[in-house]
Amino acid sequence: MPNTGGEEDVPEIYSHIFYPSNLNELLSIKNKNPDAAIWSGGTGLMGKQKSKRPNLPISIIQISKIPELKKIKRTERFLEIGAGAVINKILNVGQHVLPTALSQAMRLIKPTAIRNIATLGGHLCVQETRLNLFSVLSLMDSSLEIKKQGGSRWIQINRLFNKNGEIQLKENEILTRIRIPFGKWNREIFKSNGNPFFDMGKALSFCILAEIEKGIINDFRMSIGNSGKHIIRNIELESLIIGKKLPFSSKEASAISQKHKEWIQSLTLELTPFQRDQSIRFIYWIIKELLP
Amino acid sequence: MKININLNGKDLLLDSPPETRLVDLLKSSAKVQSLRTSCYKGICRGCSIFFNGDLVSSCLIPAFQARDAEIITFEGLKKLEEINDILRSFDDLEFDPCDFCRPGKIMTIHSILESYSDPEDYQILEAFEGINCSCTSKSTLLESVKRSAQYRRRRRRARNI
Repeated sequence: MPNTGGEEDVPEIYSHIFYPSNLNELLSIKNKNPDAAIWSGGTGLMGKQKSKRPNLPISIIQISKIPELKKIKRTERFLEIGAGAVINKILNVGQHVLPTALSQAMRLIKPTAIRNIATLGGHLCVQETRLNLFSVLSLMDSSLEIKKQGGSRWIQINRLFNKNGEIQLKENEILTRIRIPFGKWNREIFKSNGNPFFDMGKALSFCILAEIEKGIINDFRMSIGNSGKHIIRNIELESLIIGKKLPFSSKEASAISQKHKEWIQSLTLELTPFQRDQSIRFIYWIIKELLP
Repeated sequence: MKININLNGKDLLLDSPPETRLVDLLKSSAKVQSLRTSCYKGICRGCSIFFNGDLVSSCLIPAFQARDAEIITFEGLKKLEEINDILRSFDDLEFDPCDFCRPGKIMTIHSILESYSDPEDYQILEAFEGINCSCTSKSTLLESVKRSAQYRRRRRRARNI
């Protein structure tokens, strides 16, 4: 690991940095140096370390100057964002096309100075916790382009990490693009409490996507982000809500609330007591927010 | 490693370990005095700089990431004519932020004025998120940004005439 200062006879070991200027060069460097870490904005890694000289990986590939990774493209069916696109640039360029929940989640990455360097790809690839944008993009069935020298593949965003929260990229592969389908959703809401980096055990996020037509909920998805390694969904509860007419009758509202409460109380490993308490209240908020 | 930067319009070649935080590098090697180090998490904003045109916290940027970057610190900003819009509004309101947060606040106001010609309250408060120094009340801050924006609009109109 890099030096942290200290004894005189210990030679200082500095990180080796690569600066590719295009995607081909990047893939070639990654192929030859599979252990090298991809450095995008670096806000996560830098912000977590309090020391003056943070510990960085021994070998780093700096990707902020690769134009192919910053592109934002819109087609009729989807929005494609380069993994190296900076969050504030995405918000500015895509302000009229970004799905509402995604835009809300991006604005909740604070302060704005962090949004000026943090990138979408970096945000999604944070190992320790699934950050806010991950849960939104996951509900939206987004997919990711993974490239290596001489090949590429697309995967569903949910396949980026395995059950243990380990990233599923091979050593010579990198995340290059995020594809977000334009959905049928006409009610999208994202809320969060606390900073998932610094308020572990307290930070919580909620995302709802709903398709409501003539007062009937045709489709509904919701997720809870607990700053853990997974986002939490309750498909049973979603099914219970789908097909219901708005506003809910008091019987329906209490059945939904009860089901939600039982589910949240069963999540003793995933949520802290504080998060459970907050999540139980969440259902009342959902019921209110879904009203026309 | 050798790091080329353009600091406030001047090209510099700095020598630094790659992992040194940019705020520390600018303070020690380039003798920038306006930068403050406090949280090292990018939240307090005492180390705000314009990095390739965007306002960022320099504590979150390792030295290697600054290679070939254009950096403007408060010292560089002070040389711009536009800064007077902000200072004039401070004078009008007798608003005198403390020495710790003054550079960060002025840099942040400048970035707001670059993005919005007539900023709304929520845009101002969003930009100031994390700067919680007790030397300034929220109402004074909002008023000073709005007044600065007025001066800035007037300046731009005058330039266009």
